[in-house]
Amino acid sequence: MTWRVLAGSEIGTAHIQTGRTCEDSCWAQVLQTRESQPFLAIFVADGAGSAAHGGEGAELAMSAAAGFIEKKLKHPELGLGDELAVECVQAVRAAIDSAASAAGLKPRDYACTFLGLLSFERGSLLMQVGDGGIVVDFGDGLEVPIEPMGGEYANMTYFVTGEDAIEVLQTKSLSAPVIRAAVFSDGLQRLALNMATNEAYVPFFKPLFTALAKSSEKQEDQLVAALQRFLSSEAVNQRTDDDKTLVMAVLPVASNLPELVWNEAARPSAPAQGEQPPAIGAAASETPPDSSPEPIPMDTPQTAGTPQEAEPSEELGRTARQRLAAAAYAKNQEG
Amino acid sequence: MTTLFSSKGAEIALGTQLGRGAEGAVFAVPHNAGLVAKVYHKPLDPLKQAKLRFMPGAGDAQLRSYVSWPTETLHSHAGGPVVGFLMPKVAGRDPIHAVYSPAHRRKERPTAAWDFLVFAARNTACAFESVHSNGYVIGDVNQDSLFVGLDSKVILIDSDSFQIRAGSQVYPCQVGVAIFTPPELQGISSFSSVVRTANHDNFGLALLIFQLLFGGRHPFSGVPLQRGVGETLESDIKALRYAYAIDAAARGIAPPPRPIPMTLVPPHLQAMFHAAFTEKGATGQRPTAAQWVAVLDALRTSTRKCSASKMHVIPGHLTKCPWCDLEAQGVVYFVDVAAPYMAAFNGASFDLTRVWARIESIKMPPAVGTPASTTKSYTALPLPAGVGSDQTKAIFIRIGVVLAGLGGMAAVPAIWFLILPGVWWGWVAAGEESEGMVEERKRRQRALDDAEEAYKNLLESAEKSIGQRGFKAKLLTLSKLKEDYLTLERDEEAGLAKLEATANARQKEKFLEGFFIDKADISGVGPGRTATLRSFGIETAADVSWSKVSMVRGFGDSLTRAVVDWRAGIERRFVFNPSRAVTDQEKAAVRAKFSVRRAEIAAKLNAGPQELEQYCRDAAIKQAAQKSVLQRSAEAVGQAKANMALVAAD
Repeated sequence: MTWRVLAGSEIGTAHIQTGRTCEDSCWAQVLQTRESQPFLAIFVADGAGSAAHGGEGAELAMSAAAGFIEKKLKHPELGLGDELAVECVQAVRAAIDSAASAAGLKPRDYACTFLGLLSFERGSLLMQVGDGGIVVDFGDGLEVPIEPMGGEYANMTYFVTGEDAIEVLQTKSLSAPVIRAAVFSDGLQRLALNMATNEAYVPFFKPLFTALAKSSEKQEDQLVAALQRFLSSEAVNQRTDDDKTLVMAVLPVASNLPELVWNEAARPSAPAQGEQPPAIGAAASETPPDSSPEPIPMDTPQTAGTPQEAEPSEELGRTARQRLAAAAYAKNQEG
Repeated sequence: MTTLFSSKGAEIALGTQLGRGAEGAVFAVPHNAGLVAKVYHKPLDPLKQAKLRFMPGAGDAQLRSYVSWPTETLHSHAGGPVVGFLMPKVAGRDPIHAVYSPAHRRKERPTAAWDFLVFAARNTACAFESVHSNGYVIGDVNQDSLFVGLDSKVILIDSDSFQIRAGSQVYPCQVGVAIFTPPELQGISSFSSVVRTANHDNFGLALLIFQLLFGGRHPFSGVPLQRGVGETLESDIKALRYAYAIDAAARGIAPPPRPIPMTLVPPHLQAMFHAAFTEKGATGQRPTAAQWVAVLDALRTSTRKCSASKMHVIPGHLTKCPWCDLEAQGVVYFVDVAAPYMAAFNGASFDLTRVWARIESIKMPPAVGTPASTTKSYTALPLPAGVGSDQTKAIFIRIGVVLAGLGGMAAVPAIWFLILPGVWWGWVAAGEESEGMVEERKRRQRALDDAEEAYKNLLESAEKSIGQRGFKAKLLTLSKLKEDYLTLERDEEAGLAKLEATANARQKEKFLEGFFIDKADISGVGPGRTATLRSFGIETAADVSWSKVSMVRGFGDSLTRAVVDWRAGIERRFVFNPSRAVTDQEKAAVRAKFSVRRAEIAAKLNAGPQELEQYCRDAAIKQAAQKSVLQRSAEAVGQAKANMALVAAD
């Protein structure tokens, strides 16, 4: 048994109105290392609206990054560190470069952001150039290890095609596998993150992770459809008119996962000018979510005999939680 | 452990793998540390097996001293097919490209100057000659063909790929590296059917010698002057676009910026390079290895060292140091890293305040002063004979004229208007001097002027050399030195502060200098492009920038991006180490720069009090001696004045 992965991109309302296609792209797979260990790879790219071929650039980035990591997994030595991220970004840039020169264009015509998450038993690597976000849980709850990346100016962002992309590239490597992870594009940034404190918005993620963790492989199609419905739902579209992409991965066996605890202090700042994350699934109300049990966002496929989620009676200490995470991973490996 | 068999049936155990190439792997041979075993990956065809069986018995002693030559064939079982061979181990040497690359040389052989490179070039030619004199051809000349020792001796490797002639049988060389392939063989589809000649080898030889002598630059890499030039080294070699040729412009190419001038070598060597790289060479007339040996021997014995740096080696035919000229342009090839810093001037032994206080305490000598006003009376020099003083006579005449006038007026008052002018004329005419008198006065005036001038000069020079003015001048010089000393002290502090401020940048630069393009895996940048970049002075990550790389012809956006990204990736790995932000050596270098000048000034200031005291002592003695001279001069003026008074006009 291994990570359950769910990925989806949906077109934004602004793109529909202007007759453009969805310019987000994503790629997610659980690959295998040479030692047959599961290896999680997630990539997300958001084609720049300002570039003529941003969407193509995003697709090129996905295929190049996927090709790169598949090739890397064949090498005997694999270290998830900054160097690997640099090589990956170099591979993406080279692919876009050669496509651009073949078409007689410049790489900037294919401008797109680039986010990646790699994880296996011995470690994880996060990489990011430009907008979007990566939320991970190593057992201590949801974290956003890489700060959201704005450009020099408010409405500017960095692209993997930029001259300074290697400098701009932010990476984080950790020596543990992720038990929960989400990589998303710019379109979902305001729904998923508290931009003021740079924290993940737990009410957004909790139902999603819970549903994914409880699902079985057979329900994959249903899940994908549910994610698509969610991403194109009124509630989401009220918050963003941009393309939106969400890739999630979770080590299943929900009961063994540490419970996500919503910290009131992490609540997004005052609901000014509709910046408040929506209460997805509930009636499209503008009231901010509270700490009461979150509404289920997706029409979760019901699994017969799914045990009631056992709420821990008290909040687990960090170490206990980490132990649980490790145990969950170990158990998955056995399964 | 794998065991193979020698041609004589002896068991040969293989040790650790030392290297692995496309064709085979090289293993240590535990029973003989001086040997290594090359074992092919794939079974060899009969022709190659025959070649390897032939080689151990062939070749003369000269050849064996320059080539790692097969000593014995290896077989998987006694009497079986050839699977490899034994050859002498090449250790403690670097591939030739690491010697002609300035960046590698600076790092790995910091004390090797140009004479070392001339020696290496000469030995390279010798190695080629040892192969050619046996009737063999190297064929696959490339940047790794030769290994160079610290003593400049060279060893040719990969002898199993040489073209070997055994009677009528020719065992071919089937490989070649494009950027070392002569123009006449450029673009051929396969080397298998080509019979290689020494003339082909001599192209590669001239190329290696050129790169050794001229800062690692590839002779065919330059700035394109025409469309289609400079795209690849291969196409430029084929079109004979020798960038350093006298007629390079006609070939559509110019050397890269700030090259080592061709005049570094004597004209006949320049002509040899020209022949090797252009039409003459392509038609079979390249200079031979033996010819190169001869001219390089002459060159290496003609060199001398520049007075500016022992790392500047000047060939005999030049009068000016070419390396000093290049350094004036900011191009540094040979740095004297081992130069002992001038024993840093120890500022502690010099106390400027104390020395200056002593200087100021020294009393000025008395003014030279005018001689006491003389009471001496001077007797004017008498007038020369015939130049009398006509004063009395003139008075008598005037009286006569006036009396005559008065008489006339009384007698004929009506003509008073005639009489008055007459009287006036008579009066004036009576006072008119003689010409002799005028001359005498002029003479005496000149003598007075001269005497006064001499006196003035005497006084002035005395003031300057033994008087107060000289003392003040010395004091002013010392005070300027004091200012200079303080300025230097400030400059040195600023220099040391700058070391701190630029520590991060310098440390990063050093870090980046450790990453060589020829060792990097940059997609699209192979040996050819590496050679091109080297020709433009780009060898390490520190040399890389978008503007520098993109100006190299053949480096479009994609390749430039690949190279710049490579640097950016390395730069990310740099971590500033504050504990060695500024090394003692760097501080010493800054201090050394100032210490020489400071020591000079301190020495002069230290000598200042003594110098001034000496001046005062000298002044006292010389003023006394000068007194009589001045007195005489003053008297000469007094006499001249008296002389003048005698003839003074009234």
